[in-house]
Amino acid sequence: MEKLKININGKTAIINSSDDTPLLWVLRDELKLTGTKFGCGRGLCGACTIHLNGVETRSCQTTIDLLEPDDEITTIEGLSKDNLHPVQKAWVKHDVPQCGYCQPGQIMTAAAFLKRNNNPNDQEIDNAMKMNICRCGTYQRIRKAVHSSSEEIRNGQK
Amino acid sequence: MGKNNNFSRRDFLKVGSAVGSGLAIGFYFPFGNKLMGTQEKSFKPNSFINVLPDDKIVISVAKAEMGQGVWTSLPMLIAEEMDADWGKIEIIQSSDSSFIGTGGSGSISRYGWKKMRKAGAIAKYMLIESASMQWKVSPLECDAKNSFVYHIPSGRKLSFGALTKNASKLKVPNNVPLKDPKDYNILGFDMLRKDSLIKVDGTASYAMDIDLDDMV
Repeated sequence: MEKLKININGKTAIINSSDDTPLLWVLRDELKLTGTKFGCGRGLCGACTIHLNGVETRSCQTTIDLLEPDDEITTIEGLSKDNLHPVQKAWVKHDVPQCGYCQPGQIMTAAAFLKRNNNPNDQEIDNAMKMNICRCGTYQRIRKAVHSSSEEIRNGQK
Repeated sequence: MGKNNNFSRRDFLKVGSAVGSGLAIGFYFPFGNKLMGTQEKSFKPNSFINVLPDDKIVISVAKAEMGQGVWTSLPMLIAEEMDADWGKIEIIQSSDSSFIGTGGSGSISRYGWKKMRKAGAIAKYMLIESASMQWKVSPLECDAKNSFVYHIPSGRKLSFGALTKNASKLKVPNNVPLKDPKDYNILGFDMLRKDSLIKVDGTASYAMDIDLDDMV
């Protein structure tokens, strides 16, 4: 079997897993990138969200045979250096995480969403984030943090 | 900590710093709940305050942070009594215990409220004593604020970090006074959580992230 190469967080990784392996398990078990979480395995909870070519994607539903050679994958580990992405900074400033298990997925969804809409209102935020479930119920703070990171992103673009 | 289990039966001990030179105080923070019983009889420290020469204060917490906030609330109790700068406090998970858990909602009410404040007060007392010896003044003329010790009559001050070397040579005091709650400036106030950074970059380790040899 020809070994698959994937581009992940700016580096090329050679993958030994079989074709039908979900990307989530390649990330967690083979590459030891455990920041991306397993939640439901059915694409329902959002804990496994990563960026595939900049778009939020459920890694538990993406088997590696679906990947194209030039696809770029970004995980929470590759989102920024030193927690400096505006979304990560806002998450800290607004004390968003409690247990924190869903937050890598929340952050990846928010970061991809803000690239499409850097000035969202409450409803747009709720709509973008509603497929990421948080059992601690941090939704109010997530909304606040998305607002505040959108402000930083807009200021950075001026 | 090595393999030495011959700790004296004191609650608070001077120990070798786990994270570098400096002042390190260790104490035992019990786990306990109705099922496990309370392990009060062990005297091997599992919690530490490390004051480092660069003013950083590393506090190890012997409780699992599961979202309930112990990585923030237990250090707040220490920082309050130490009069430490909250921004200079770093948390590490205590690692010399084979079991890290929570336990019956007692982290604050059963143990932390008394033990953490006492630990912080002891650390402050040793830092003040160290400063007073250096200045050749009475410790009663000194006070601590925001990670500095001040000699009130002369206005001199030294940072906690600058005092660690001599403080680490002092005896751990038995009885130290605790602050009057009306003087609190950390307890009772909203402080930013200390576990956020590792939870927004994916480095926080959950049970599922632990990788052991021969694991299936």
